[in-house]
Amino acid sequence: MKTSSEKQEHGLWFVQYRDNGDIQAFERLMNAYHKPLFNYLQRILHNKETAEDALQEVWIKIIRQKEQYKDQGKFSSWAYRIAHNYCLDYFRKQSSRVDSKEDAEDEEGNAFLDRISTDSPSPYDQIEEKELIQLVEGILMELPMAIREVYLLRTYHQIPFKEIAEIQDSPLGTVLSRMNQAIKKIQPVINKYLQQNKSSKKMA
Amino acid sequence: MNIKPLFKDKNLETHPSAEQMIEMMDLPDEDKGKRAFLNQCSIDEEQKKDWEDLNACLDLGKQMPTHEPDPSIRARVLENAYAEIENFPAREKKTTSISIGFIGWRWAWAALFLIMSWGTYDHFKEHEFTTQEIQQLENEISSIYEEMEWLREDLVYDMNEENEETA
Repeated sequence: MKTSSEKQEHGLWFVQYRDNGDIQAFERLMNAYHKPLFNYLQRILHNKETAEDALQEVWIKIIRQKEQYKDQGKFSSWAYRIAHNYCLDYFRKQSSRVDSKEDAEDEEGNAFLDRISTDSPSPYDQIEEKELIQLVEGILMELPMAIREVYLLRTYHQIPFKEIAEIQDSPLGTVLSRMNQAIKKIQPVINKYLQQNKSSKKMA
Repeated sequence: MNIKPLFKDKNLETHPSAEQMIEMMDLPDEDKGKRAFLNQCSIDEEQKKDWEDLNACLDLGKQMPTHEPDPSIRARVLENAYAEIENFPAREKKTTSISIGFIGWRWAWAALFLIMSWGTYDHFKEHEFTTQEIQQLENEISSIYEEMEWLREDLVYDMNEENEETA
């Protein structure tokens, strides 16, 4: 997890670029955020090429909206918020099932979650740990964007929940609820895997 | 937006809710509430298992593979970053360094002037003029007086001419 002092430093780098035209400070920012932003976008948008286009667009927005950055804020929250808004706009334009934060809370979203049941017989009786991670990634892809986003930002990107609440522009309680919904879907899969592993070791 | 933490001053002797436990993940271990909860876990097996399951679920997310974007994206982004600062006022970029340099030079010149003044004063204070030097100085002073006299006479002549013309 990036420490608060690291995040403050990143904010200072951006201010140096914005106020003094320090391109090297901007390059340092890119080194810190280019890959994490891409991985975030890829897992939210489900597609590598789309995520690459999004990544470029997000950086260009960061550059062109630099005057809107508040010096007291964290650059990470601001950058991820721009990426989050891009994803929301992308899904709206797609005119498909909108995985917006509103959808995560409505009945349709909850019904969709209920369809992913772990009570049914699992085809994955003998799976290795890396396959388990792939399985979890598959479950995440089926979740509404808001829930998927909370899980990814907290686990993979190690962003605190308060900061995720700023990124999603949602109350902290809503963010925690979304995380709980993600864990309710993922945890039984882990438990089942561990049980299967245990019983297969006993048999061996 | 005012974000208020949910988990504050809760009674940790009862089993916390799932969301309360999730929020606790962001608290440092030194936090009073979290310490009390972890102590509770040492005697409550069910609570301990829930906490361990939660951590295992989050650890799994950390292990997801990292992917690399197309390298050309970085180059294009940097082009935009450069283009944005090309319009940056050059005078603003340089002002800071010049003003700092100028202030430094002023102090340097002031110091040099003081040193030279002191050196000159010191030299002439202690210097004992020879007879020859005194004579030379007196000759120079005399010549300056003579030049002043010539200038005065020229000035009087010019003034008289003007008065005659006007008359």
